[in-house]
Amino acid sequence: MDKMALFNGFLIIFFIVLFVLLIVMGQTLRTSLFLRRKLPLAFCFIMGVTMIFQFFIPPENSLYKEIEDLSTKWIQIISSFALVIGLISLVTMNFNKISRKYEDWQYSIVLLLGFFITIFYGLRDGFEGKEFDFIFNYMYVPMQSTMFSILAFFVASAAFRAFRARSREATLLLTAAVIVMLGRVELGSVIWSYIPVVSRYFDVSELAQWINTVFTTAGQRAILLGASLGYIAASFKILLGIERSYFGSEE
Amino acid sequence: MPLFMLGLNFKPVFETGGAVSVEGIGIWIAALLTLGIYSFLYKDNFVYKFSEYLFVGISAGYTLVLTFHKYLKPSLIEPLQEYSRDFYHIITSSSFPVVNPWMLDWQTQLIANKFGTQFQFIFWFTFKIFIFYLFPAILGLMMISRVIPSAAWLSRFPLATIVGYGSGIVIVTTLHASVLEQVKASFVSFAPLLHMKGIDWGIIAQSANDFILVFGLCCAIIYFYFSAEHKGVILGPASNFGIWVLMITFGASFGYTVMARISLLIGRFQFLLGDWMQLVK
Repeated sequence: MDKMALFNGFLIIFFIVLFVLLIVMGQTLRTSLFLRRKLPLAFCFIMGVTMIFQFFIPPENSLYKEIEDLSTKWIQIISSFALVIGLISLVTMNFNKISRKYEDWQYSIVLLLGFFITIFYGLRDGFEGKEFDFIFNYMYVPMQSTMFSILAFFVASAAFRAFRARSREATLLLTAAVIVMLGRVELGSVIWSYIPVVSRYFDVSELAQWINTVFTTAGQRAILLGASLGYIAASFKILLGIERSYFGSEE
Repeated sequence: MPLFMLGLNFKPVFETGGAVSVEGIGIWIAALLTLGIYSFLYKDNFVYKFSEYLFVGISAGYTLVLTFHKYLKPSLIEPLQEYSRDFYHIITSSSFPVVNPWMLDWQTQLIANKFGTQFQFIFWFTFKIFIFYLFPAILGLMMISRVIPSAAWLSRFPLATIVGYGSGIVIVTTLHASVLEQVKASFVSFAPLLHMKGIDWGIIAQSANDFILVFGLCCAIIYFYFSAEHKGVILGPASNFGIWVLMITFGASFGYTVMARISLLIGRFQFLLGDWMQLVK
């Protein structure tokens, strides 16, 4: 047998055994308040302080590179496992739906088939595989862009309801949106030329550009400043253990 | 009635020699799925539901494959394979520094200089494997423990690690990029206007734009200031103007979003009319 295949098999068994041990440990030690609450908070604090400390090291120093490498690897690995939870949830939910014959259970079969066929070819051949390439180019990409493009219709119908100029603010919103939309396409300039007086003095694409560089910059900067200060305050609260909602409902 | 008699020339599924064309089948599948999703515009129906569920399944599978090949494999599996291979050679060799086919001379020499004995080398090796790969893998497994309610609390450790990492990064980078840099960019200079010789409409227009930007920014910030009631000579009008600025911003953002969606829609129609129906070249 190929040595690498043997090693991979060993690795899978190793992780399964490790997982079982962790679960047993979790069930045994679940009454410990120190492990359940204080140690995770310490983890969070140490990780956060290390990340802040990293920015005070000159980038040419090897310690900077090592901290960056290590933290990036850790987050990549942990996030990859986090994805598995979402997928386990998706698969179990759809299996339940099929086994209990809930409404629209037939479509869950389609979902699971799509899921397992994609991961089979994707994990077996990687991105170079012909089958995976087919799924990506002729199914995933077209469906994704169609799903996003269908929003154009919903946005239009929502705009029809929301954009009735009932107040001064709504009129401003509507005017800015219309000018930006007209200013982005050639057809917009043609439509603009039919608007009396205004079209003689202003070019619609320049007007759209002006709205973008002056008003949108001002508005977005104000939102960004406010949100960032809130974000920083929330981060401090998390690091100091004041904000613990990510622990779950028990806390 | 054959489709060509209607004047339609769809992408053929078979090539001229009679062999099946993979591209042809692919285009037909893509076109039918596209139409299936668009059928929702009429009403919710089984073709749409089929396409929707298939899309969710394929997307989830694609995300898993992407995560595995882009992150998990290069960050965990391949390094573990590589380290284990070297580790195996070290512990099975009788002499140290070990010479194996994967190590170049200078690497062998470097190991000998740095670690001296085989024991030190094995110790360093194990330590590095644990810190770089096994420890985050254990944290990852703890994350999966969330599916078992009695051991779900273990997932707090990886969550705390990710949240701590994010918070630490956010404090420094956001403070720098989204606060200090934005404030710095808002300090515009009116020196060209003050030192203008004669009337230069370019400078006047630029200064007016800068003034509106800074004034609009201040007013929009005042609108977000909730510690005092928005009344009086300054706060009342300033807050009102701030709302106008924000409304124009939202309107413009909405316009850009609509245009982005419309361009995707045009792309899909180009595919249907061009690649599939071959009406547009």
